[in-house]
Amino acid sequence: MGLMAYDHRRVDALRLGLAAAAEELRGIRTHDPAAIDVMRMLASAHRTLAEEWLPRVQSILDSTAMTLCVRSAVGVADVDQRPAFIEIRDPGWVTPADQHPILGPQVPGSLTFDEVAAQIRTGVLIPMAAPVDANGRAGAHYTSLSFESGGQKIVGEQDLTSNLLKVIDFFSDGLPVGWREHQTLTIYYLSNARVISRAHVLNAYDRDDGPETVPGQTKAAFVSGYMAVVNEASTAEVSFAIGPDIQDPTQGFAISQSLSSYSGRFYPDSPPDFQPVVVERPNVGAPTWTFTRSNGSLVEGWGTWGS
Amino acid sequence: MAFPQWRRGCASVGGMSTSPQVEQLRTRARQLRSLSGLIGNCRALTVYTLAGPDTWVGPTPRSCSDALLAVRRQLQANQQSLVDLARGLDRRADQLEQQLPIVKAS
Repeated sequence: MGLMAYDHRRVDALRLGLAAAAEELRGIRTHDPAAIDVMRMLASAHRTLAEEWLPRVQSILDSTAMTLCVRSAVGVADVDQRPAFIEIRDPGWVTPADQHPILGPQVPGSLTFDEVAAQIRTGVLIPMAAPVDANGRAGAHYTSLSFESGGQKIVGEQDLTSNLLKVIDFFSDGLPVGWREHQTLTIYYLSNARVISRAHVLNAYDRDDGPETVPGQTKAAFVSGYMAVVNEASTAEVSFAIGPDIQDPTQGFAISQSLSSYSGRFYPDSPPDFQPVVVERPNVGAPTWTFTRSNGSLVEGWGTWGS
Repeated sequence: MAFPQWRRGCASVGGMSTSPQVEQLRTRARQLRSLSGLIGNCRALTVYTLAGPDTWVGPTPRSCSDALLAVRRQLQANQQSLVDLARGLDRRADQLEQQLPIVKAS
C-alpha cells in the first residue's frame, strides 16, 4: 500500500474533464465500414475513461479516509506520514493511504511482477485462448495472434539464464570457440491493446514476409492484461588468430552468428470480444508481438504461443 | 470548378455508373477526414494534462496518467489511420475518374 496526495479542487477538475471527454467519445459516430475498427477503439477508450477511471476518481473525492482514519502498523505508509507530503506540497493537499479497495475498484495493471508470476503459476490469471494449431499438416488452417501495443508498461524482468549457461558465457571470453545464451522473462501490462487474429494455411512461404492471410477470417479485439514474454538470444562465436605465435588475443578476427526468438502468453483482464475486420487499417505499424503455435519460430519476427 | 462535359458523363464500370461511384468515394473520404478531425479535437487527447503531479501523486495517480496517455496514443494512431483511409478512397476516386474518358471514347 502506498500513499496518495491530491489537491481536491484539481481532482474535481479531472473528474469533470474525464466526464466531458467520455461524453465526447460517446458522441462520435460513423457508419462507414472502413472505420469500424476505429469505432471499436473509441468504444474501448470510452470504457477506460467512463467505466474505469471516472468511478475511481469519484470514489477518491467521496473518500472518508481523512475523516475516518485508522492508524496502521508502524512502518506502513499511512496518513501518519502526511507531514512529509505537506513539506513538499501545498498545505491544502489531502493525503489518504492509496489503498485500491478503499479508493474505488482495483486499478488495472497494479500487480507487481511477483504477484503476476504467482497468479500465473496458481492459475488465477487465465491465458487467452491459444491460436489454432495446424499440427504440422500441410494445407491445414492455423491462426496467428498479433498484438499492437498502444499503451504498454513493463511490470518487471527476470533473468532465466541457467547457471551452466552463465559459466559457459564466462569462459567463452577466453576461448577460441564461444557460446552465449540468455533467457529473459519480461512481464508487460497492455492497456487497450489491439489484438488481431489472422488465419493462414500451412504451406511454403517467404520467411521475411511470413505466410499469406486467408481473406475474410481476420478478427480484432481490444484487450487489457498481462503479457508474459520469454526472450531467448544466443550467439555462437569462433575466433581466429592471425599469423603464427600470436600472444595478443586481440590480434585476430571473430565470426559470430546470433539468433533470437521469443515465446509468450497473454492474460487478459476480461475475455476478448473478437469482431470481424472488414477493412484492414493502413499505416498502423508492425505489431509488437505475433504468436502462433504452428511456425512461430520460423517466420521472421514471430514468436511461439505458450511455454 | 466545373468539369468538362466528358468528365461529368455516367459511364458504367462494374455495373455502377462511375460518377456516382466517384462521388460516393469522395463523400466517404470527406466523412473519414471529418471523423479524424473530431478525434483530433476531442478532450480525451488532452485530459491527461489534468492528471499530472500538480493534481495528485501516488500509485493510483500514476496508473491513471499511464492509462490516459495510452488512450491519447491510440486516438492519435487512429486519427492518422483515418486520414490514410481517406487518402486511399480519394486515390480510388482519381483512378476511376481517369478511366472515364477512355470508357467514353470507346
